[in-house]
Amino acid sequence: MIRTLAGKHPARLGLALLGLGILVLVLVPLIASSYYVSVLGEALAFSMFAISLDLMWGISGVLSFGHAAFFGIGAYAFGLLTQDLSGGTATYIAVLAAIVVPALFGAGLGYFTFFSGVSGPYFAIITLVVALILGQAATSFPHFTGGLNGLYTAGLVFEVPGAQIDLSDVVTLYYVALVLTVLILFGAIGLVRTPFGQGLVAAGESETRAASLGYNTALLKTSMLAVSGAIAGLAGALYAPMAGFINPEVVGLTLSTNVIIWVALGGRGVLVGGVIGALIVAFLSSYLSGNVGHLWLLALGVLLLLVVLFRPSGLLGSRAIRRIVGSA
Amino acid sequence: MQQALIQVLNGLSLSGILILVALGLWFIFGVLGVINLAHGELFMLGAYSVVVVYGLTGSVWLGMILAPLVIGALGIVIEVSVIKRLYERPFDTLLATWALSIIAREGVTLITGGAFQGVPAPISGTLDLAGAGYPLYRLVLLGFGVASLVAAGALLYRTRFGVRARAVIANREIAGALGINVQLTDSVIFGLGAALAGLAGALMSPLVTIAPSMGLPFVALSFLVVILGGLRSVWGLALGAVIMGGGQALIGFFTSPVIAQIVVFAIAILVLRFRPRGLLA
Amino acid sequence: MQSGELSAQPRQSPPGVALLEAVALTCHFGGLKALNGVDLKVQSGELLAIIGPNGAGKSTLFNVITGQLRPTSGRLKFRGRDITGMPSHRLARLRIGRKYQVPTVFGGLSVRSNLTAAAYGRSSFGRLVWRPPGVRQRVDHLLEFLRMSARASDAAATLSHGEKQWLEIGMVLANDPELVLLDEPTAGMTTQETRQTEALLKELAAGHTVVVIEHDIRFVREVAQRVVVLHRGRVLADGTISEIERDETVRDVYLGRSA
Repeated sequence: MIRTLAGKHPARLGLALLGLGILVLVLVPLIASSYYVSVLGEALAFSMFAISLDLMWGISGVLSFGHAAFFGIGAYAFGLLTQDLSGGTATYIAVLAAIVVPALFGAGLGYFTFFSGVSGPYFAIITLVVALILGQAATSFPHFTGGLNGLYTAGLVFEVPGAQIDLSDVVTLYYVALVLTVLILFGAIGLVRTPFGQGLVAAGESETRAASLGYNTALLKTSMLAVSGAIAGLAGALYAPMAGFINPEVVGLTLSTNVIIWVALGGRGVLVGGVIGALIVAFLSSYLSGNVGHLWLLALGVLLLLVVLFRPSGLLGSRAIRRIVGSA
Repeated sequence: MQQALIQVLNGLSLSGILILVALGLWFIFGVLGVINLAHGELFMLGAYSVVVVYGLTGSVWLGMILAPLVIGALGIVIEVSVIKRLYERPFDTLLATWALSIIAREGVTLITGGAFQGVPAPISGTLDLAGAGYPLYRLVLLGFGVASLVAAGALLYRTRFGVRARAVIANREIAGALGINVQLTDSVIFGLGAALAGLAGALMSPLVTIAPSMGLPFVALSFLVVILGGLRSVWGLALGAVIMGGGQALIGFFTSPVIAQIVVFAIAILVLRFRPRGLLA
Repeated sequence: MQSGELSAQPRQSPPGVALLEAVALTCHFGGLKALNGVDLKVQSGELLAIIGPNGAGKSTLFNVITGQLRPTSGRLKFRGRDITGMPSHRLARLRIGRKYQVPTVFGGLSVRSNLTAAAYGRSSFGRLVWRPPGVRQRVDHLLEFLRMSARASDAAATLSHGEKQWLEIGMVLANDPELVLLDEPTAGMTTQETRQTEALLKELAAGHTVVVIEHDIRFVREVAQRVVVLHRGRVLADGTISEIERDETVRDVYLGRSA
């Protein structure tokens, strides 16, 4: 269907649709209530997080069951560093920390796994264990992390020489999220099309073949994990002022599960699939008056099972669309 | 000295449970090549089976006997309806079993209203050890761990079914070509693995608070045990279980359960770095 | 077109030193000795064929040379430098290339992407992000050389068996190795395709050192300058094809007269 619609230039059609989508998102705050804007803003932070997962999963073929570890580390780094001050200067340092710390964590994790030849399902399990442990740790050291009540992160101001961004305003946060997410999306697509990205796609198809062509697959995967961690951390730092507080939920199993569902639903390997998935799920959950309860999680579990059994490529994960992005 | 002995026994009884859970995982992975992320929930459902039977009949023993049967049957149903369809897609199998684990956890939470439960131990009483009483029941658990290892070994190496299962583990395609009913073997093994998890959960039920998320720490630990032990030998599995279970109990005694988890995990990762094929490779 | 033009870097061969040398190479699998003391020298620029009955250890030898397997004992040298036990990607970076027995290409990627990925394989890490120039042209040349320009955008998985073999040869070329190991390049090919592969190989040999494992004796006669016979993990005979064909022990082994 995509082929017939797109004719000879599927990439152009894709770009046009993307542009249309972005335009719609730009216009939303003008017509929607601030509740919906804040829901959508959070969904954008989650979209960025979904992109970071897809870079590992859909592009490099490495599934991570505990990816919220990176998101949460970024969120907590940001939250902790902005605790003692109500001013702005350290906010950009907090953002930097939210990017660098999870990146380093990813590099370390990659070193201990990929370089030992641990990959595939074993790696997925190890990330699961990491997320579980971090979730426990965040709950069990309250004097450090605020425990179950979390850290308070509302009312911040982001200051750069010459500009000041009030992070307590819902609409401002929304536009910051939109700009960042779009930049990350295009950056990620660009990265996939470089020989680095293509090498990872190749290694995902056949690791032996890639290695016998000279690719240091462990180094490639570790580097991508660091990049993915950085993006997830940034998403976490973006989420913190939106939610107003950070608790162990941001680093644990539930969020790690959700992001996989967003990417599986929207289509993996196309990067924008995770964005679509996150936005759709955000809409649906807001219709349930924002109640993310157990019934909702159960429904998501059933949805994931159905997608895996009957439509593993998700909504947008068809070969044709993956070609446009460069992951096929 | 007394404390030390108690801690060692605690560690060993935990290892006994871990061996049961890890054995189930190991069977399923060896024969089907499937990493069953719903294994912790099968464990949890085993514990809940005891709760239900206890509530209906007042007998914990009956619950412990029925639990592996019920969960084993559930395992067969899962294998036939979900796993078989995903035969060629290992990553999707991972996702599917994970989806099942979510469904089980949330489903049980909704049904039970999230209240915590408990059951009494079927054997009360203590054994006099170095001047203190050590719960008999925990020693029974340890015994079960050892017994299950022996039984697993016997099943694999002394029965005709075991020969067939080992053939499938060695080479699926050739086993099929030799006339072994691989489909049936798959279902039986998955059911067996599930039954082991259910039994472990049932046995564990008097010792812990029964809650929908009780399976998670166990399955995480069991996966590490299987990875540490390497996939080739049951002895590696046993060694891994002893190290992880014992380590967790000991370190947890001196510091805190969370720190114990972190340390034990860090040890597992380090071992993996230097011995990727397992401890006894 | 000469395949020498396909290389991005000219060959250098230090005189006197064999390009590849295996010394008492042994490889055990449990009780099985897949390689049992292989001594072999490959000179720069030659085209060597390795033949032998099934199970003789031919593919195992390749596996050891390209780092998929570690030898249990013995040494492997490349241009005099000890490469025993090096990981695959480092061996590839020393310009040792291999074509596998079962065509191993990146099925989900397009033919062009396969060749491009192969061309970048030995780039340094920094180069992987900032692309060096000239790769696109090289890939275009290769597509023409392989006569696959029409299929450039098709997914590699949709190629026929023979086309996949050629694509893989093309990928090995794009990777620009000095030593090329080909594992049964004509396996599963029609007579027509085999002829085309012969032509390809002769072109290839003009600019590279080639070692071929083959069962097709006619093919070997056409392309090889020197033939080595492997049997039970050892070198049984070594010489030109006519010498080999006259050798009594070789005949016995092939006709099953001796164990």
